[in-house]
Amino acid sequence: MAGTTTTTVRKITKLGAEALKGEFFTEGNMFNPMLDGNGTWIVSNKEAILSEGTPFEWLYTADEIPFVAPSFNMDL
Amino acid sequence: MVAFSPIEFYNILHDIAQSMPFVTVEGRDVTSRRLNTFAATKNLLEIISSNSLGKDSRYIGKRLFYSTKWSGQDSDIKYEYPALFAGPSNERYEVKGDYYYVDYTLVFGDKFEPKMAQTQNQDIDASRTFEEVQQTLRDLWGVVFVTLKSYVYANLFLGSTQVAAGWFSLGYLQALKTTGSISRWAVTDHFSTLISDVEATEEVDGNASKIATHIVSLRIKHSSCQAYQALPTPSPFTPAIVIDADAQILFNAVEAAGGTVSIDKRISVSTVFTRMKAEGIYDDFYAFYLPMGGLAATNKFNAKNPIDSDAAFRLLFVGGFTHTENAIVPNGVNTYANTYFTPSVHGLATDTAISYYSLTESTGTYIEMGVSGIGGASGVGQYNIAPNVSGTSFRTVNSTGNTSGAGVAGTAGLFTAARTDALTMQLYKNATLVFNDGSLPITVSDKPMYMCGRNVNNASFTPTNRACAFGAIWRNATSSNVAILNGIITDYLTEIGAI
Repeated sequence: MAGTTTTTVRKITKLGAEALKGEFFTEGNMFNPMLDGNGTWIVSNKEAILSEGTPFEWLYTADEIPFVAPSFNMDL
Repeated sequence: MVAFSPIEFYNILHDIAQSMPFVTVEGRDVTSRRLNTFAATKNLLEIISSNSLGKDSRYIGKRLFYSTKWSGQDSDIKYEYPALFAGPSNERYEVKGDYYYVDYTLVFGDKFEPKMAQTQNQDIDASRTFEEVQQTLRDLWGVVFVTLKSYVYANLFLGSTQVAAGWFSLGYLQALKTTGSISRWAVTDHFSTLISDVEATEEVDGNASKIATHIVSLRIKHSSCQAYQALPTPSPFTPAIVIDADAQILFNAVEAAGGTVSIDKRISVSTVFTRMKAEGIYDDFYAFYLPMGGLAATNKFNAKNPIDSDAAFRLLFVGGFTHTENAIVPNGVNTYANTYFTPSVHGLATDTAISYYSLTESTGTYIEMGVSGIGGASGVGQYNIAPNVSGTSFRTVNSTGNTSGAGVAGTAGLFTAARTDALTMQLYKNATLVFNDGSLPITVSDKPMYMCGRNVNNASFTPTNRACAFGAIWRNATSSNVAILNGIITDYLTEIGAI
């Protein structure tokens, strides 16, 4: 739709998400693989870009997909 | 305009005086027909009453003093009248351009005896009446004035070679050409364009002082011709900068982590520390965060205790943050920062506050700071800054459940969620109380507080995309202290150009 922008993220596998958990892509900043609103594992574009030159460089070429936010419940 | 200083003006007057021809009548010198003394002077009245005209051996060889009676070979200054004394009175500088104006006073003086000496063979000079003495002085000024107006700034050439440049009278240039010393000259400036406001201002009664005077005032336009250069910046006289000792510890930690902090930012950050201390709120902070250094490794430090440990409430960034010199920028997708501050462990149930300065106006399901309830139980012990979550505000500070309502208009600014008692909880935007909610049952969360998002039972999170320029966990957040903090942080962010 004209005038709107869609946030995009990188699609990863569950195996990939487990590999990223607890790992840092830069000093002081960890990866954060998460399930989106569709139940798809994703990381942000920023993490993918900064993965270049790290053991997780495969993220750099991960598919870019629109971000679907998880459901929100303030009572949780 | 060529460079032209007051000393050069004195030099010209010196040369004019020196060039005046000696006059003899019937074989006797008539000293009143020429200037026998010229002196650039500091104080005209003082000089006239001085025996030495304020001159000593320092003036030998300099075109600031001339006397037909003193060749500079002996230590005793000798001079005779008529004399020309010249000195400055006022100077006026132009802001635009490199020129300035100096008002000069020229005093032409000659001796005048009130009573005719009863001697024979009176010479021509001594036999003059007061009016005749005055006219003689007026004539001397006339010669000086005409000669001044004939001065030009010229480049002198012999053949195609430039042999000199400077201020010369046209008569002198013609003489040089006649003798073959030069072949031509090229004029670049005329003295007549520099002189203005010429008038005789005063004539002193010679009967009083035995000195008759003709006093002329005039204005000369001088130029430094860009002779002066502005001092480099910063000045070598930069005053010493006092950095708060605790701020210095923070800078040391940032530098050790690979960051750099400009001197301007150091001063601004140091001011935050000193003002917090001066206002008596510094000790109320468990942690506060002032992004600097532009790296995750530098933006993570708790400024109050910049040790790289969870116990020191150092931030752990999770997800795709962008780190800048002045802000931690979450992406609103998968970012949060773990403060490791657990309310049930580290805080007080009824005296607690969290603050978040958002630089971003945005709409969406975003929460800037917070944590959910105890043991994963729904809604118990919640704590958050959630002023506008898709148009709804959620207010809760160490309470079971939350109060919701209209979202706060505008998501940029300093937001503070606080309680200072067991009865009410407040949400401030900047220094303004926007909600004051009645108490819900008090409980405190047993999970760590997240910044740039809300911790949901340690299992998930609600992120924000609102850039964080300041974050804090503190207590004693009375309305006055919130206002103080807002003032300090707003000034700081303004200074560093973040807002």
